[in-house]
Order: sequence, then structure tokens, then C-alpha cells
Amino acid sequence: MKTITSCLLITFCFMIKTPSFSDGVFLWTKISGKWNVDLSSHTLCSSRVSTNTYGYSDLIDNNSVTSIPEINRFTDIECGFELHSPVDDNHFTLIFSSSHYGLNFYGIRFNGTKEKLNRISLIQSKPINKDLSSKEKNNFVIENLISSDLALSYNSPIVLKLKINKSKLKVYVNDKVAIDYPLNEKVQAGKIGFSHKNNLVQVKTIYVRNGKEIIFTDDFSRNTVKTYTVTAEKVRDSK
Amino acid sequence: MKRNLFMIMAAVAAFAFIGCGEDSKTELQFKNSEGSDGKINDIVWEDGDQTWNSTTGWKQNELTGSKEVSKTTGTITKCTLTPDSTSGDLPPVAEPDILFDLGNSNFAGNISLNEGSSQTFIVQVLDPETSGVKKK
Repeated sequence: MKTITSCLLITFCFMIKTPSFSDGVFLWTKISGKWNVDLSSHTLCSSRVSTNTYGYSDLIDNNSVTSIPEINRFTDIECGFELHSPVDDNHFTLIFSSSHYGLNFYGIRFNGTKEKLNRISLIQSKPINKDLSSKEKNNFVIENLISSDLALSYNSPIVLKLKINKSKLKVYVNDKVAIDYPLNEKVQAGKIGFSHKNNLVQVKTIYVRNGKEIIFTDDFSRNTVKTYTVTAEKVRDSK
Repeated sequence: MKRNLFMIMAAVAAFAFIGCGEDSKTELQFKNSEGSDGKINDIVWEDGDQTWNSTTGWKQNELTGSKEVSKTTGTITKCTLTPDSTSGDLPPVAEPDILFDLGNSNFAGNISLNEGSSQTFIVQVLDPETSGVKKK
């Protein structure tokens, strides 16, 4: 009887520890671009270099995906990625603490030339006029909070780690501190995501932790990108 | 002399009027399908040859209105939508993949419009989580 009770207790504990991120079919919503999970390499890929300018938000103006669940109380984000086929003025951004429609977010943005990635920045997107409708075009600004130079090659793995301790953000690139910044507000809630322009992206790993506990991840072993489609069918043709 | 001049001007005007009538415009419009899972906010035909924009979005069964297009071969090169699963005062939050339905198969290539006619396409916003069955 004791054994059965113990087994049930262990099973129950395991069930309540199972992260909720694996409950749904999709983990990501495609905002813009051409994102898909490559099942052979187990990576999240974006295959559109160019971008469209709509003016609603930075996310929809670049090639972006964001997580479907909001991720709260995280302390660490770890992301392994590679960039390919760059042209001048390209960037890749790890988005965090994003509102669900993408006007407000923080991001770690890598900027580069055709030859190398040469800059990393902590950026913040926010509305210019909070009183205007969210549907208003060109009502957002991207602020550069802090930047530093770096030199990273394309076509090779890059590991980006964010650590938030109380009100301090530390960003590591390949285990070296790249940004150390005091945050003025709590940024440990909201969606995470990726956006890029003028390059191709392969995201290989993503882990979001609260302490040692993984609270969000994707092993890219199945299609987890929710993509809306529009089908068009001719119905009338009149002279 | 004056009479001749008047007659010539009248003939020119009549000719111009007939000419205008024969000017054949190619027009295009879109209708959001009754079974759509969202509103359409922006449609761009063939890299800006013509654009349609609505900040409130075209709801199900609404027409964008006809507009003249110059390019009779092309595709929807941009489109944004506000899925119904979002609520409140939100901007478009998705740029969908765009497919044309020509008979039995969807494809993402160019389509040809008939020159000089007004054409309507029904567009349907599909949420992959709820669109297992094609709705009309």
C-alpha cells in the first residue's frame, strides 16, 4: 500500500512539474516572413531575407515570430543560433517581454555588415503616443538603451544568454559579457521571439528558465509555428 | 467659319466621348470570406501596383471595393490581418502566407487577370488551429 501511495505521489509530482509549454500544438506565431521548423536539422528557420514595411510595429516590419504563451518570472534565456547570407545593414533580434501585439518589447539586437556582425544592443520598442489607437501607423519608436562592439562570423554557432538578477540584466555572447545594464522596470514577463532583416536565420536552441527550472523550450522536432494563411479564389469576372 | 469650327469641336468631343467609353479598365477587388478567421487590413497587389488598406479591417463578407490595376499578371505580394482570436484595439498582428486557389490546387505563384474586366477574389483567412475543414 505504501509503495502504491509513493508511486501515485511521484506520478502526481511529475504531472504538476510538467511544463505547460508543451500542451498546445503550436508554440510560436509567425508575425511576418517565412518561418518554419526544419525537421531534418531540428532548427527553426527563417528563409526570407527582405522585409515589408507596414508601419504598425517593428515586429511586423521585420521577419518575426513570437511565442504563443506569455512567459512569466524568467531569470535566464539561452538561445543558440546561426546567421547566413547576410547583406549590409542586417540584424537579428532576440525579443523578450513583448506585449501580445508587439508594440512594447525589449530585444537584444545584433547588427552587421556583409562581412561580420559588429554590434550588439539592448533595444526597447514602445509607442510614441500612448493615447493613440494601437492601429495607428508609425506610432512606435525603437530606443537603443546600450550598445557595444563585437566581431562575430556568419555561418557559425552563436550562443546568447540573458541573465536577470533583481534589476540587473547581463548579456553573454559565447560566454563573454557583452552587456551589463541596470533595468528600471520589471521585464520578466511577456512573450519571447525572434526577428531579423537582410539575413537568413537558424535558431538551434531556446531555453527560458526560472532559476534552474526550464519554463519554456522547443526542441524543434515538430512543426510548432502557427502560420495564418489567406487563400484567394476568383468568383466574379465581368466586362 | 464659326459654324464649321463648332462642328469640328463637337465632332472631336463626340469622338473623345466614344473613345472614353471604349477605354477598358482592368479592375480588382477582394471580399473577405464568410468563413474567415480574421479581418484583412492590408492587401498589396504586385509590389504596389495597387493597394487596399483599412485600419479597422474588412470583416467577414465585406468587399474592399474595386480599384484599377495596371499589371494584369501578378499576385498579392503583401497582406496583413487581425485574427479573430485577438480582441480589442489591436493593430494587424500577422502577415499570412498567401495562396491562390485555381481549381483543385492552391499555389503561391502569379495569376493572370482578364484585361478590361472587373474581377473579384474571395479571400479567406485561415487559422491553422481551426481550419481543418475549408469553410466558405
